Amino acid sequence: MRSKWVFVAWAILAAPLLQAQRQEDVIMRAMKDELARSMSQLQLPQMEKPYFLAYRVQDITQHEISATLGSLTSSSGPPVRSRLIGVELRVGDYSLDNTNFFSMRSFSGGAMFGGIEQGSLDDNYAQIRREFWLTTDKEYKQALENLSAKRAALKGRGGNENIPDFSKETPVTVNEPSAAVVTPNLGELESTARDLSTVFRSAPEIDRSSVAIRYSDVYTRYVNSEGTSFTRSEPLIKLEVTAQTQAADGLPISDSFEVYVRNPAEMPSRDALRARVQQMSASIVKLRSASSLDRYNGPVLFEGAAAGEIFLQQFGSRLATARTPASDNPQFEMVFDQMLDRLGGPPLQDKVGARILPSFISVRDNPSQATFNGVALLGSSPVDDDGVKTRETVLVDRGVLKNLLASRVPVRGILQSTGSRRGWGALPSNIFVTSEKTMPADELRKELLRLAKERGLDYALVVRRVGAGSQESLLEMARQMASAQNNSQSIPEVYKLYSDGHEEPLRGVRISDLPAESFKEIVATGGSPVLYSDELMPRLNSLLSMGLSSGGNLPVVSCVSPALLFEEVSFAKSEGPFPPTPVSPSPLAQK
Amino acid sequence: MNTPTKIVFTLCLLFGPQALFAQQQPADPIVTAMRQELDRSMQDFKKTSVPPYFLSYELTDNRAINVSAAFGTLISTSDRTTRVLDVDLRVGDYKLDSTHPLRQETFSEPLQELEEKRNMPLDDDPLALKVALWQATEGHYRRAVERLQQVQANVQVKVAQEDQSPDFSHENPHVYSEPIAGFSVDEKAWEQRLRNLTNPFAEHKEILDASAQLDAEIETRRYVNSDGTELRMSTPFYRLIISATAKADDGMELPLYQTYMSFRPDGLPDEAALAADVSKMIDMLLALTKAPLAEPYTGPAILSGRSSAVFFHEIFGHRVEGQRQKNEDDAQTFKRKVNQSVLPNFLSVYSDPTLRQLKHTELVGYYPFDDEGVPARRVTIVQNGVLKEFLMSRALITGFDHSNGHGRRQQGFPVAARQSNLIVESSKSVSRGELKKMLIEQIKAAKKPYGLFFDDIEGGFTFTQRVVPNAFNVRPTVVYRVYPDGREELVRGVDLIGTPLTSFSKIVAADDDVAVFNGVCGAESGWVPVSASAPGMLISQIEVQRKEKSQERAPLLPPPPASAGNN
Repeated sequence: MRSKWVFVAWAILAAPLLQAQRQEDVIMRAMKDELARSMSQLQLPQMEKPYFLAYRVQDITQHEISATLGSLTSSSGPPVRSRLIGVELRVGDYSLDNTNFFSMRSFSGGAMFGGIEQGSLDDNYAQIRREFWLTTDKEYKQALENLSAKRAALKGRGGNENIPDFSKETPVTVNEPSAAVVTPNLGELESTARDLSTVFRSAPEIDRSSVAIRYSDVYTRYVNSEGTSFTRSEPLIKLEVTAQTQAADGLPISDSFEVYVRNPAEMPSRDALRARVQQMSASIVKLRSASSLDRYNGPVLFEGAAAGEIFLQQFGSRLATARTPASDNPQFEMVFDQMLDRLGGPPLQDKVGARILPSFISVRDNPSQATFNGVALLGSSPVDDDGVKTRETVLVDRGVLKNLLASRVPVRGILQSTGSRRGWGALPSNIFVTSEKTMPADELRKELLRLAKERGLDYALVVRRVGAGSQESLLEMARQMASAQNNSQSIPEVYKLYSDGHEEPLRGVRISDLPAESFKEIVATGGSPVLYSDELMPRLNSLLSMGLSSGGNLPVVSCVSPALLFEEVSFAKSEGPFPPTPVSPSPLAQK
Repeated sequence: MNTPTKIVFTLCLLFGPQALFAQQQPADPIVTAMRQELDRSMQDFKKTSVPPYFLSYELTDNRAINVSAAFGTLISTSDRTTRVLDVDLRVGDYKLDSTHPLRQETFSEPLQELEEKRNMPLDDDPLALKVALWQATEGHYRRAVERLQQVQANVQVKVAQEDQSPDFSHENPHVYSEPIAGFSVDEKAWEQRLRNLTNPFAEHKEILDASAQLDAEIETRRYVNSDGTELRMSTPFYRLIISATAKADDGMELPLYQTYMSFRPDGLPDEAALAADVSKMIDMLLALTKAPLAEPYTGPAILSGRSSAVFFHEIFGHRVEGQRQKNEDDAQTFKRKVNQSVLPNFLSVYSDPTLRQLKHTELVGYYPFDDEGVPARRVTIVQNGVLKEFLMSRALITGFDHSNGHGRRQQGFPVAARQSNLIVESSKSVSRGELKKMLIEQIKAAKKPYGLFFDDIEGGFTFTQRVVPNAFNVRPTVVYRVYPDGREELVRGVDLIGTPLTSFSKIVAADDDVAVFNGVCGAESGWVPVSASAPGMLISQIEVQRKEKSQERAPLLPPPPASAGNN
């Protein structure tokens, strides 16, 4: 009796809501209608129907601003709007389907970029359906071809592990309104870029500098054939300040810092940012005449943001699984695996159950925590890109690797999603490194000096920013290749700490060796954790096994970590040949 | 009584200020900054062991408004402003310098150079601009010195190159300044107009792809070099492309394109005229899907003026671009043909960048100075069938020791000799009807069942969707069979084969129906606006085969319903 009332009340309340939603979002309606038609009718005679279909519409608003020396160098005018439509289609069944396969013969596989198209900006029911109709048709034909090629390639292969191709997950419905966050004032952003870049006008010693601000909002609509649907708004502002120069001997010196926020209100004040740019400018100028060292093997303290930075560089994408696609050329699989290991470090999936950190350190990933010390975290989200509900995952418990983050593409030993698909593969959201052996900052430094003294060293190293000085991450390498000019592979902020407590900056020093095993030898941690956020790329295997079905930004991962004191890290001098120094002095030097 | 004075006064009002403005324009602060930094660099580099002998800066401001729509809905709209720097810094000497082509060099632009080109300050702040120029100059200098060493080694190691002409020509300095041109685009109106124009395509299930794109740009180029040249040119440019592809039942894809270009915002056709063209396109696409497949054929054919123009641009025009006579990797088709007959004697071909229009049609290949600061001039490529001159940049080839103002580039690309307005003229012309009669005579004489009429063909400059410039390719899109009784029948799937170049010697007559084709041509120096104009032509022998059809079959499901609720 009572439950009946509840039901009626629910129906009365929900009906108008459902109605309103239906009328409001003609796009979602078109997606659902075309998806239903495709699932029931799309079939080539004598061939299989799709068993899974997902549609995604991403409305992307982007505005990019950059400035140098007080003058804008680019501004995309009014924000650029675009709409991407994505189709993920699977034929076969959960245990064996068209994905996780890459053909060397036809150079196709996964969904290989095929399932993503530019869509119409107008909320036009007919056109959205038309776009999904044609893209689904293409994907279906491609999927059938891939599945038969995959079956042929796998036939007669021994030692098949029979890992399923796709995991079954509980359907969810999540609705976030679009434009949940205030769009920033673009004139204000331009003025910030001009203002901050002006700082370098008084530093003729710095060869080039830039301030770039990128605002974007990605509003995603997702629906799949299992009954899951979600909408989600992901605004992001990224501010990046970079500066480069050369020392008198030609050594490239560069530094940069990034600020990521979801909401313009969270942006640090203009004054605070200016102070930070001034500090960076001054420290680069100072570095030009700083000393260097040939090599160092000994205890090192990663302080402040450098702790999260080094942790993410080493473990960020490796805490997530990635499936290497099967191929019609087994040699390719081997070579590909080796290449990826070199690029991103070997995967950790065989290390589950092993100790990878000291027993006083634990690590968890938590997408549902929104802030840390009042500052918004960047990886928070109610659902992942597969429409799987996100949740907290314990990754390392007292030093032992317990689990890895996964998308719906299973790997050996990890068969369910942890709600961690971000972009084309699995990635962490917000990582929390916690410690049961903490020391206040001054004691930690004393401990560092004590360890150094044991080694017969009269100083120890303290790192406050790692930058590109350790080439652990693929993204770091890609960034370096992309920005090309005079890029230094040195650590932007590393200091010699002497026993009397005074510090000396070092230039032209890079980490020569910091294997994952060194993390087991962390001897102590600081007491107050610091937040560090950075863009991360999912491992490349995923791209080939699953394809690219969504656009937008690279995912930003937050990492909260206390200062980390390593027993041993190897440092070496950056090696030349360095590019020649300019023939003419900078025009800034002319008065 | 005082009427004359009044008229004079009015005339002064009309013309006075402009004339005054043209003469006494205030110095452009950007050009001044470029000049100062260029002079400072040349001075400072004198102390090096390998000083540059030539330096130029070209700064191209580009504001581009793009609107595109498909099937009645908006796809994208953008408004971007860029400023790109191109530096030409040469070490060595005019005879052999750091830009000399290296044999067996695979082209790769240093990432660093890309960085220097972008990131130019947009605000007119001389100091920020000078710093950017300084950075780029230093980078170019380093690479030029390195490259000169490679060039010198390459010249030593390899067999002597056939063409020993100098790498760079001496040219006179010029000073020229145009006012910044006006630019107006009503984006919102165009968004709606393009929606309206592309909407009718949606009614036909055979048409799988249909879009319209407006590209409106204003480009202001500032150029200074160490010869003393200082230029400022400013040109707006409006282009509309409508493209649609139908799919026949057997999977063959049938594309059609319409392009319109003008220097004036009101120079594009009005919506009614465009809608009429769209409706003709749809009729043609539907007719094509039902047209019979072409058979392999060798025999006489007529190229319409429009087809001739595209054909000459692609097959002839690109081969008379100067550098192709020198690069050892190029075919060098016409290298030894100067003063020899290359076309029938009733045909002459000119390239004339100084022309703004031909009769009433604008020619988008107009420019006053090329991208090396050399004044544009009319070049007689072929006179009465005899090859006279190539299109020249400052890179020289045997027999030509000056540029003729055809060194062109899209901002960010290296300069190459390129076409401008290509004009094909016939000294003996017949009417269109007469040409068809001549075709029928040829068909009968050759005992062929039919001849072909190429009404429209697509080439590298008829549209811009193609990512990789494939300049020498032409593909017929609208072709008719012409039967001896005069009947015409549309066919589909015609593909030109053989060496189309040999077709030029088989041109037997031209008509008086001159067509102008305006487009954007893509090649090694990027996309540049060009035009081509030609009369219709009768060719005694052309060879075609059946086009390979797409292996992709038509969509499995019928188009979805246009509104919700009738699944």
